[in-house]
Amino acid sequence: MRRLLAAVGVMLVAASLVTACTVGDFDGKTRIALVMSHMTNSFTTTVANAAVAEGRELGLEVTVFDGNSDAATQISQIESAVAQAYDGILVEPVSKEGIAPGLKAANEAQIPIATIVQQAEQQERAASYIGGDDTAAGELQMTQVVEAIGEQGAVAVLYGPMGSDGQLQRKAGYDAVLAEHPGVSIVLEQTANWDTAEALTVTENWLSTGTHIDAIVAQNDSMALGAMKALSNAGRDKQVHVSGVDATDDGVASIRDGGMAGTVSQDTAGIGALAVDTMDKLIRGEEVDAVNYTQAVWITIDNVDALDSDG
Amino acid sequence: MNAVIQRVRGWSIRDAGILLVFLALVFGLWLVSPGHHFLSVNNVLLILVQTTINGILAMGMMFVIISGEIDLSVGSTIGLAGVVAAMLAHPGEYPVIVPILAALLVGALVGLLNGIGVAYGAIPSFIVTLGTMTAVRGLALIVSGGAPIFNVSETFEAVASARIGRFPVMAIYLLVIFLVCAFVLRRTVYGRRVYAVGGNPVAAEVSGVNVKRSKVSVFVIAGLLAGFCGVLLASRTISGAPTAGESYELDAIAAVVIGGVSMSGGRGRASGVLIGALMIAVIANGLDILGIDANFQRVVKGAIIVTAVLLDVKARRRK
Repeated sequence: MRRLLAAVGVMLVAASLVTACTVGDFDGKTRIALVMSHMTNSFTTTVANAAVAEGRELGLEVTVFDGNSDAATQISQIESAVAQAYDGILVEPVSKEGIAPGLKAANEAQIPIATIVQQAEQQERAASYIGGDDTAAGELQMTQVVEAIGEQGAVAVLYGPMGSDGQLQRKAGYDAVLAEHPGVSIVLEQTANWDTAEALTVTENWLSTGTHIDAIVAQNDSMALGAMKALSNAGRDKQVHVSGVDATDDGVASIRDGGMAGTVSQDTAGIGALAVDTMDKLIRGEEVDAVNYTQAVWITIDNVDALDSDG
Repeated sequence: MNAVIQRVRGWSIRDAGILLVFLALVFGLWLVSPGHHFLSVNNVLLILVQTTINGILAMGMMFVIISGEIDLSVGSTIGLAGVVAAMLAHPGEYPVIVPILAALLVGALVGLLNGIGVAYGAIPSFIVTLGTMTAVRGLALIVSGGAPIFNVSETFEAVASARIGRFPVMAIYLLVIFLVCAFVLRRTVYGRRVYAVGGNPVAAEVSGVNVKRSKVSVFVIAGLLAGFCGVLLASRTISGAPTAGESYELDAIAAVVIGGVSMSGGRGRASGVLIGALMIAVIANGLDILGIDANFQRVVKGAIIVTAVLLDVKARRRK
């Protein structure tokens, strides 16, 4: 009896999963699948929410899939979107190389597919790219930092996961700026894997060494906030210039409160909206640009209030 | 006096071994750190702060592992408890005790669920806690809406960052919880039952120990402490991130294993686990100070874990 109940339970769950997947509305509405790398931070949720909102505006149905930071999951999601005959697919790749089979599947089914936030290694298989330019974001951030510390001084850098595209490209931007400013040097560098708690610990350890630092350059706001907390614990938050990238809600709040000095906004919500606009055009057979960069803007206490609340 | 001798004798070669390895590591880092800075008062206090969360988590894990089980869900519990705490900790809403109690409740509930699944469902703890690890992380993401909860009150912030003189309150939490856990394990009937259940559950049952209830209780302890760690992490980072505490269970297990607790249950002591947790923090702190990159730190940590278990196996063969 127990076993029977268990079996029925499992089947019910399985059945509900299947129906959840297949009962799409075939009421003639254009359907776009948005395959995100994950849905676990303000950046990705903002992009996805903006995309869904833009879809509602245009009368499209945007369905969000959570790739769980796993390339294989993402490929399966693209394949099932193809199988369910979505009209278009937007994908934020977990990894540059990882989504090749997904792109191929969409190409073969002749369903338009575009990448967002990060380009794929086989970008020629995608119809378009919509997102920020991480190298430009890195350049903007470092340019502002160099200027703020008077083109002279010691900088500590908190990186994202080593070898990830965001880390490499933003760093490429830093290096380009630093090459032109020999007075500024990186004295400390470490990864904190985009994580606030890790950045806090690393910064505590840096401060503990007594190495002089003029600025902490974090590759995202979460890490910048961790650095900020370590500095304020040590009573040194007014002495060090701290900046991040992404203009997340908490990052922006910190700037408003006089904490972080600045952040680079890549118009996070704009990426989601522009992605849906572009896909709409692709579905209707219009020409679109191969690359659609959103504008990177340097946000400080001076212009923070002009930023959209969903920035 | 006899008791003292007894206690010293109670230390196996292996316990002393791990202490020696630890001291050697500290000495080495002191030697090579610029200006022998590694053992400055400030840095030692910092290491205590950085040990606290993993150390407390490891104390809970110790109870679970000594009773012959494992708990993979504590990292996710930190995430959920931290999110819940941060949501209740906005300035001017509730007194600070509310978010703390809520987080402890969350932790205890997850622990209770684990315990019931293991003891009464007779499902292997690896599976039960793998399930709750996944589900609880999902809950943390749902409850928080997939983004960190920020804007917490100053009182909540002070829970982790307050100091008494120069002494960080975080370190006090660690020391108090360590002392309580050590006392409970070594000096109470309850503690002896935990060892008995892990060493030989059948014998324990026969001699009148309620094995099921003991197992539930160790998971509740682990969950409760994980809930408290959630509060500490949210307070320390002044935000409740749904992704917080990811893979923390592995560091806790590492501390327990380095500290000489047998993975097959029934053996181990709190002092060893404390040293294990300190060791992990010392490695990260020391290598950060020396400017060695984080990828290398992982290699060192991995090597130490394996070495510790190797020592364990050798010491047991000798017996």
